[in-house]
Amino acid sequence: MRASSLGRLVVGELRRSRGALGASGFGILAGTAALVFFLALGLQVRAVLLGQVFPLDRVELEPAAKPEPGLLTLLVGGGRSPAGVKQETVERLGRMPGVSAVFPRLRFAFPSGAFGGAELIGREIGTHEMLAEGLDARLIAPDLEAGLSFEDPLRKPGAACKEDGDCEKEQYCERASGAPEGVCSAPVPVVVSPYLVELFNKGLAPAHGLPPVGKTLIQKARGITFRFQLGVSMMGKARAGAPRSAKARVVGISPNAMDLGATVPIEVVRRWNQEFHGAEAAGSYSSVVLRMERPDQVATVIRMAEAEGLVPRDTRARDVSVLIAGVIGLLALVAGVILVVASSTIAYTFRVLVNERRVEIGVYRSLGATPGDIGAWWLAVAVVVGLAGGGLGGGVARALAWVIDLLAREKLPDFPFKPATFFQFPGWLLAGGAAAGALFALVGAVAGVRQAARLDPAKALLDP
Amino acid sequence: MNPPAFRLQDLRRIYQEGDTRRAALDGLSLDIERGSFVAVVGASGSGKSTLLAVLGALDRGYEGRVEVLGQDLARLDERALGRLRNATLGFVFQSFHLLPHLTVLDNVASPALFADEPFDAAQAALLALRQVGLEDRALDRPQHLSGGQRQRVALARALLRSPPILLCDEPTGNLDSRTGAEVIALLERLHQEHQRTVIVVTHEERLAQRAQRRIALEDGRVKEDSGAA
Ligand SMILES: Nc1ncnc2c1ncn2[C@@H]1O[C@H](COP(=O)(O)OP(=O)(O)OP(=O)(O)O)[C@@H](O)[C@H]1O
Ligand SMILES: [Mg+2]
Repeated sequence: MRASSLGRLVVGELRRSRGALGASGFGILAGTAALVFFLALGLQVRAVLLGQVFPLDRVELEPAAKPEPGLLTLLVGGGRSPAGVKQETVERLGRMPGVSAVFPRLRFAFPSGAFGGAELIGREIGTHEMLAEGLDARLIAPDLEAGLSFEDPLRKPGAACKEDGDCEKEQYCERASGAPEGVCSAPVPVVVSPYLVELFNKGLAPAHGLPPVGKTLIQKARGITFRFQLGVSMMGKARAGAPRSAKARVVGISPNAMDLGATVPIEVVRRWNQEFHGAEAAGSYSSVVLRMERPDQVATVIRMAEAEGLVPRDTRARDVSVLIAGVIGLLALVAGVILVVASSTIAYTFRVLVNERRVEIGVYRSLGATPGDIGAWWLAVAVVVGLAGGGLGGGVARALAWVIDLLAREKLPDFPFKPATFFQFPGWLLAGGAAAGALFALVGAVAGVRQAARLDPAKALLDP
Repeated sequence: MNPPAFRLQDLRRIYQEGDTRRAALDGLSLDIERGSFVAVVGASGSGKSTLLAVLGALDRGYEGRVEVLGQDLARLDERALGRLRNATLGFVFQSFHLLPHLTVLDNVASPALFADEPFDAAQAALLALRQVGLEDRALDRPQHLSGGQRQRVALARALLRSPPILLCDEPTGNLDSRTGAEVIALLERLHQEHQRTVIVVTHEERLAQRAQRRIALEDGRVKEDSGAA
């Protein structure tokens, strides 16, 4: 049969049976709308969570925890090898395929806190428990505003001093506990993660009536200064040294900074760790962060890193990813159930229609139609119904999403990582929705189509 | 020598209903020459419609051999059978089987849907309607026509592709005697005009007498054949 003939038959049938076909196509529309809506929501939630909150394109690796030393080991006296990631390992990791950047990190090995902010927001705020770590300055430099630097301040030491008063206005006296004297030092530069800023601005700041910080604010104030409380926190005292404080200044925001805490130049951490924890693993790092070219390379890289004795430190990204996939899968299942119901409606409609058209089908057979022609005719009707239902369903999902975004903008309070839209409608999703509509319509129609194709024309036409 | 319009060899059509097998056609062997006008008669249930469905390539469930214009139907695939029904065979049914959602013109033009090559179907349909004297009703719906007119429209549809063979199952069965006579006269004319082979299944003696050859069936067998060699 020629395509133009098929088109005429299909259009004719659509026009004549628009009521019945429209009703069954509506089910497809509803199911596809639900499917596209949930998937669009899932895509965006995933993109926000994994792109901004728990980036999935990086992985932090640390030495695998050693099993508890057995009694025998203690008796024989086998020493524990210092845990840490060696410089050579860092370099080897950097050369692995798929790895685009390596960030070795060194965490504070001693308790610390932080207090400050009085000159900026009018009162002292702080925490008795401060997480901090050191990072190579080269990894932060590109994220800094012009004129600000992230270098170990002792590269340019000032005059000798005994206390802060001996130093210039901005400086403080960096004097290790027990040392007879120290040197004047610029405040230790600190960068924070966008994650922390977002949490502060949308969570902490409103709750405590504080103004939000932003890039412009940091620039304008030439940095917020605060004091590190070194060697003591709520958790206790450091095993070496005597508690003291050091002046610090926020110089910028960097996605390479640790999520919840302060990131300072790695040389500073090395020095302070020695002071408060003792000389241990001097040439190693506490962990290393690998950034991948593509998120799907993470698994491979983790497997290769296991050979180096390293394991992922944080599986939040993976957990979140699994959780989202699970929730969206569940919602998609609901949409699937609607589609299955729609599909069975189509099955019923097609059986009824084909029965009504018995004589017509017989006439067409007698006029030259093959069983395949008749099958193609009804199959095409099903595809059109499915594509139309699926296509419109995608449109309905978009409209619904638009309304929800509007409501969210106006009615929902600002919260950390609140996105401008809660949905993502890539072209493939809309096309896939239409395809799913067509597929479910086809599956439903298949019995009726077979019935039509196999109809015995002699029986339908010849009077008994 | 030209092959006959139909050649049947030991044609059987057996219907299986549960455990019982019934032979609706039980060993027919005969030739139907081209250009002949044949009446098939017989009591109800004697197998007339069954025979017409087999001859018309609508029923493939037969045994034995059936040739149409020298072609063994068993050797043709569905496409070739469709082409045969489309261009070589014209059907007329007792209940007309016009499609009520189409105009008379579109009904007559509908074989064009299944033609291999596109052609000016509206033009051809008007021509066919003129042959049956109904061109002025082209845009009517078939349900607004009388029975005799409807059967003439059905004939026009069968004629659209000028097939050399017409197969008619009780073409006057639903008509009163006057309109039936019109249709019979039309069939005779169509037979004579292009040397068409016309096979008519009928109960009507009046129609059977006009045929050149009369084949009487009984229980699926030939009881009497006026043209037997
Ligand atoms: N699809 C079928 N299934 C089973 N039996 C059938 C079928 N079609 C026809 N038959 C049987 O085959 C026999 C011949 O039927 P057919 O319709 O050919 O008779 P007919 O001569 O056309 O009768 P009528 O004059 O009433 O139209 C009948 O006994 C009929 O019951
Ligand atoms: Mg019959």
